Amino acid sequence: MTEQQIRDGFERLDSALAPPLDAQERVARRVTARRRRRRATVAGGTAFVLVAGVGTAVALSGGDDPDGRTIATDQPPGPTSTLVMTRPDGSTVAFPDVTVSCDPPVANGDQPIDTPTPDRIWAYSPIEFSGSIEDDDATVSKPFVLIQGIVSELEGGPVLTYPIEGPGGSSPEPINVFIADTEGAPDGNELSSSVGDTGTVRVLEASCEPVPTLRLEVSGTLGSEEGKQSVVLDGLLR
Amino acid sequence: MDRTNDLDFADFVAVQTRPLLGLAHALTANQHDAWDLTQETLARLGERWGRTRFDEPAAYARTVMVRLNIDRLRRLRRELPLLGGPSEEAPVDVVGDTDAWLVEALATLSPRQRTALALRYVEDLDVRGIAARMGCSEGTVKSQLSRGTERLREHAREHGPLRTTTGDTA
Repeated sequence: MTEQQIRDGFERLDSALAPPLDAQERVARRVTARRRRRRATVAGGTAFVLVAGVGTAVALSGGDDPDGRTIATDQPPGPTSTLVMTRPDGSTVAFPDVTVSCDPPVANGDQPIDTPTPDRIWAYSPIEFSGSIEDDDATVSKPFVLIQGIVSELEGGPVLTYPIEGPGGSSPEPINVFIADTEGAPDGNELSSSVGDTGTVRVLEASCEPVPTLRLEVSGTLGSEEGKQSVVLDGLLR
Repeated sequence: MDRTNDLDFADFVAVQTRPLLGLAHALTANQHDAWDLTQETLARLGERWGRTRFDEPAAYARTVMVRLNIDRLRRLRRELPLLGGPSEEAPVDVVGDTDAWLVEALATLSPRQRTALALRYVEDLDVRGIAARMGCSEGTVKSQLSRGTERLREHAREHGPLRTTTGDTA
């Protein structure tokens, strides 16, 4: 087996397939699907409804937690949040009521909106939406902030600069700061640190043990994932 | 994404889909996975197109593809069912022969070994370039290349003469 034989084999592998003639349409459909899923994520949408049933089963069996690092504990006394969103028109929204958890966030009080995932921590203000998910008209009732982090990548107190991206520009990012705003016709605005213009997240502490703890300082401008207006989010979570 | 960006991205897809599919085929040794990986890579770029400035979008796409492939077992299995991905028939056309021994041998390698070999033999990258794409050290790349190459040779020795066939393990 020579080097050239291996190289020739790879060359044939490289040239053996041709994409479908409608590749562009297929890619466009997947882009749309990803965007729809992202929107559904915000509104506790279809994808999450599908996931929620599975997630519940998984959580009960522990089947998706090989490391046993997803911890269901009593919540500690609520963290102090001074996070404030400021829109370009000067209007502000404060997020004083923030829950920190290593279990997925819940919307409308009791609906999980993500799957249990080892090594993840979330901080979020109350997530409420109205309308029908199945009819694709679910809308956010009031602005909320949702921060998701990978605990093992936040050790040592990193300072992360916007835009915060995952490896190769793909998700998951070590931390993602997300806001769903109700302003931005026709259906609100979605903003995040992955399309942020300028800003930082300074992580002070991130841990699931013994109780979920996320302390950080946020300062900067979150960019819109929908090409709408940006907002400033500043403050501490401690 | 405005119309101008749509057109730009359409051009990118038109030019890059075939070479990306080739790399994906080398990364996965599987028609279905190759198309899936190509489509997902392009979709991720398409999502960001117009919002993020890509100095070298073709190189960026390959980095995204490589890292998606390394992590795909952990990451995509959870995401793709929601996108209707895995159940979709691979729509690619087989237009050339592949070496069955290589397809079979690649299936026995770890994703990282396959990735290192594909970047070496398809992208013609050196160790430093492979390390940059994979996001790991040069020492790790050398190790993956060495073990992967040895595994290919072992497989060829164990399974006799080199055979050529069409298609692969879809």
